[in-house]
Amino acid sequence: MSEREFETYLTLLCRLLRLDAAQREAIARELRDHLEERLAELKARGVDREEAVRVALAEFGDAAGLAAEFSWISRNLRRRWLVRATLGSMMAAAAAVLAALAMWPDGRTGPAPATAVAQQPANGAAEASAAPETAEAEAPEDILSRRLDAEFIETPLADVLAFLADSVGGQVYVSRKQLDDAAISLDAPVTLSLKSVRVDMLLDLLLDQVDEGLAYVVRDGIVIVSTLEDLEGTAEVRVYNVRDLIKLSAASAGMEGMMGAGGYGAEGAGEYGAYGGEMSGELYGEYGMSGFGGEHPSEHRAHVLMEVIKAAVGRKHWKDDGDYGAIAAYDGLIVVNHNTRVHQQVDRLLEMMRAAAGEGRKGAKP
Amino acid sequence: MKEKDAFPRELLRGSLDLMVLSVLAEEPRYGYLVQKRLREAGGGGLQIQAGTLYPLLHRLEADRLIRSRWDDSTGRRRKWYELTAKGRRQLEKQAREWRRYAECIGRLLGPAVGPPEPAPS
Repeated sequence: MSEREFETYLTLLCRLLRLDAAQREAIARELRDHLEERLAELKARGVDREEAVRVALAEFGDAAGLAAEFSWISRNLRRRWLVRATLGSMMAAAAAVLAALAMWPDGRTGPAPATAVAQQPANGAAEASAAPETAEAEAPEDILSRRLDAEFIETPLADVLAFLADSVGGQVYVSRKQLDDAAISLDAPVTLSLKSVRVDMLLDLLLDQVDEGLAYVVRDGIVIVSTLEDLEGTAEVRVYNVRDLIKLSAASAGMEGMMGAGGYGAEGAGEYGAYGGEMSGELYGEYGMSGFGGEHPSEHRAHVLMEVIKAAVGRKHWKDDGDYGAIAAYDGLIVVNHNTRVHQQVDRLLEMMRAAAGEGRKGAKP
Repeated sequence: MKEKDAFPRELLRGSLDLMVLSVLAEEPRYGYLVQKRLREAGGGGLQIQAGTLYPLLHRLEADRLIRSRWDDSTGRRRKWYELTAKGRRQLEKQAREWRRYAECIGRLLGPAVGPPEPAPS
């Protein structure tokens, strides 16, 4: 019975360790040895079995926190190697410069910071050991769309964020000052147990659990956690091309003929969701000319879509006056001025709508 | 062994490394023995939780201040830690700093609150 509880704990810990199988096994074995010895000691002192198990496990603290610490140590070790390698190559470069120019390059303060070590999300046992270590920093979108297992029981938010950063090989910055000002504590405990959850979803859930005023944005690959108020300063304008969605509806209403077959073909699925005016405006010009009276049906559909977005993302995010929180439609494009979090939600919603629309239109895609 | 006698965290934070290095300088030990030795030495004041100790040991090893090896001659596979030469140097350096610091505190406390109380028997 006690054995089983230890094993459950160690299994959980191992699942959370971002290390290879051999390292995980070594850590589990070391801790198991400790737990067994501690249990024997407690029992010798007359503590009953149940209580002894409880005490021995409690002394280890929660598995998530401990796993984060072990992973962090190991990661730092690798990072130091990277720095050392960088330093080595820099010294070689400096020597070459010296030889060539007989001049020492100034202003060189130190090695470049080691780039984030990308790791695979832990989907299971052996896989992590095969994870290739790339020196390239991942695109922020990639970080957010990664999936991982999360198991936190009354774990301080700060620890969870550290664990998260470590698991996705990214960086998380917490604006402590803003949180302090808003009297939000980083020690606030969160409890959550999800398997294979997307990082952005996990962040949403975590932050909501602590305080509704919390939000995050992704800037240059770094996840920044702060108050919604503070992050509103980081508003950005994005243009969503929703012509495909608007046109799809028209198409399903049997208007394909009016659009010209070429219109569809020119806009490959790969371009959907690209921001900015990359789409071929000329084709749309033609489409627009093809003659509808009054409000163009596609304009009308754009407005309906806008309402759908507002409703789905949450009406409290949108304001009619002012720039921040503005949403407007023009010529099949929806312009949104908002923080990254809302942009992500809009993005996800459009993605889902495209997927759903695609389902009902099998075989129509080029 | 009373809980309330435990040293405050803030005090421990700066000196735990030094304590673990000292304990391993005496002789090689595995994690459980390190913890036990600290508990004995602290007279109940040093309650180092396993969850703190093991990451600390791993960090010291990553820093090459200690090294580990697996041994099963006792019939049980155990991870033993011992001090490295680098760890020895670090220990001596930190020990000097610590003594100097303690003397400094002592000099300040003497005039302020009087000489130290005799240790309770």
